[in-house]
Amino acid sequence: MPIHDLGYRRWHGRITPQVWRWWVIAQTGIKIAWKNSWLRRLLLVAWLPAFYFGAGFFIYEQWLTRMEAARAEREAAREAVVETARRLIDSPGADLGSARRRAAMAGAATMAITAKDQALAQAQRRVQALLPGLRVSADRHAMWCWLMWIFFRHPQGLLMLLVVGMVAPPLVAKDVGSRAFLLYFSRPISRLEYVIGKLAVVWCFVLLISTAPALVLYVSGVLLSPELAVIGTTWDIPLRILGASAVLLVPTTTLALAISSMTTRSWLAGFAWYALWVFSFVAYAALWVSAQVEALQAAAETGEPQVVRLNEQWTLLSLYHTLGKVQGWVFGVEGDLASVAPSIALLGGITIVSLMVLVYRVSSPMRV
Amino acid sequence: METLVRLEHITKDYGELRALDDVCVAIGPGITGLLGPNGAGKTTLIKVLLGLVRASAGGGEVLGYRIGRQTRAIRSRVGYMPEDDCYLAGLSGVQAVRLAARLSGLPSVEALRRAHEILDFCGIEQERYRSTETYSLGMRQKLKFAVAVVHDPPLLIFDEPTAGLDPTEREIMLARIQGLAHRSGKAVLLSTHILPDVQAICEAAIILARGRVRVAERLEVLSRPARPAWHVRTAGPAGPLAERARAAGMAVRCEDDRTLVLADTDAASAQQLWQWAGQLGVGIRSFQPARDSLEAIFLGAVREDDRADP
Repeated sequence: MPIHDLGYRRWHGRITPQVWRWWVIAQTGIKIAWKNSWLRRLLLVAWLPAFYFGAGFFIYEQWLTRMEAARAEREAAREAVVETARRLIDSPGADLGSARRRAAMAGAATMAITAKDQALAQAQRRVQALLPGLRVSADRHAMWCWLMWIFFRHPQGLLMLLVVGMVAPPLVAKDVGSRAFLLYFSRPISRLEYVIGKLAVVWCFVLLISTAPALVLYVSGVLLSPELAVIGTTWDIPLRILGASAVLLVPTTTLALAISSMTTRSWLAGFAWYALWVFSFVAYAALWVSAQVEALQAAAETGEPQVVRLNEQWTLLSLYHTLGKVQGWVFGVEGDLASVAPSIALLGGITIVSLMVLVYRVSSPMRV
Repeated sequence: METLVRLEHITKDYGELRALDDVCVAIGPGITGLLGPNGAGKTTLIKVLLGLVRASAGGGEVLGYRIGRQTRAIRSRVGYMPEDDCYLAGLSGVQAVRLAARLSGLPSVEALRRAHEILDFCGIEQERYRSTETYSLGMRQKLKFAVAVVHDPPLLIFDEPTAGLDPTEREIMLARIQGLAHRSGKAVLLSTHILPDVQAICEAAIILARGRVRVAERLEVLSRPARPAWHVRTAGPAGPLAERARAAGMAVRCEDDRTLVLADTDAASAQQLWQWAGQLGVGIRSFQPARDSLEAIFLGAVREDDRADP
């Protein structure tokens, strides 16, 4: 027995407010997850795409600056030509030789600027050829939204899949396996607070790899742009980032925890999580490929290229594409509300059903 | 006597199965044993008290708070040690106790200090830094005990606290519970199958059978036989003394070669035994009113239930 053992002593202290009890569960979950060195490495890697996209913002801003400079030069040259012509008309006795030279120079400048414009347009076409779907536009707001959407959809969507697959499976599965619910719920904790605490663990990591880099990317874009007036045209993008983050977070984390609650084995929950995404993606891809083959066959028969047509509703088969579609709508680059309504309904349905499963499973050890 | 827990006509049904049937009971300060055979409804009763399951009918109060309505207030003031082998996976012992303290509202630093203090009290030393998943069953019992008492609740509910403990640890655990009740003024509800545990430390007992309360009384009253009886221990063989008493028409039972029980004998008649002992040269070591064993009381209550509802 240690020499400092004083036996049982009463405790008289201040009790913390009830509203923060869920955060205690979240903190504990975060600390446990943080012990995983692979997760820490993955979080580090998850920031790399932000640098890549940061470079994209920089190149775009450079291109936009050059475009604007070229436009300004052309306008200046045009004004010079007009001014020279006006002077020639206004003072026919003036030095005609000098006026001709200036006119010739202005004409040459106009031609050079036109050539520059053509070169820039050609560069834009090349970039678009390299990255199909890229919409290089002089509309800064549209371009930034598009870049952010791509950032959320491709690198961060995939990384979210990996991070959630590492963090979420043990969160509830281990509590089911170790029957920890009785220890939690004999405290002044409701089932909802428990669920929110567990969800907050996953939210924390997903926010760290999606929302945080996206917001940093936005701030970088503002700092890299030549004028601060850019804030006036892009002020809504941080709000769209938060909206897209919510679309990414809520259905995926509730689904992951619902899967976790259905087993006592974390590895099984992890496997189910990845399998769900892979199978849904493969199902969509299989349909897309079959449509492509049909289009190719039709093209071979008619001798004319055919457009690949895939029923929009098939997107619902793939969680990845459904998420991308709704995020595209949030960023204003994909369809209107009517076209994304089925996707929103699907994600809402997944969230509600997952929450129901989660609460049911969390309550089940107390029912017997 | 002050009443800390009052249950009024509590009934709990799990589908067709009636786990608790019109349970009415009052629990006061001190240590109360909750006894009953498997499936008697002990754990269900505890879960109803804590609001973990909702009673199908009836109500009551725990420490002045309504069951099922003021669940948070009840849970803040009750420490519960479940019977199940449960633990908080992924945490060390000290982290688990700290988490329990924080969930009960202790501030972060204070929770850590209190966790260490309670682990010292429970005899968990360096093992507190090990993951709870590596703990033996006995260690987990001690950890669950620590989790139950860390927030210093006035009412403690222990469900099979000595299960899985070796005899030494069992003694220590019972001493701890007794200390909490007697030195720190905690009210304790001890649910167990182990009758000697109840006999050793409890002041009152509730016996449940088939979801019904069969007995709820102080042990002192319970163990008093229905008719006067005497428990006599002798220095030498008690056989001759027993023969003499039988010859005088007394109902005598020999528990062993040095112990007699005089059943259905009043005090005046029993005094004759002293004279016979003197005549026979048998020394009397002790002579006191006999008490029914808890085992006999328990079996009596359960058998009565079987007879009433075969």
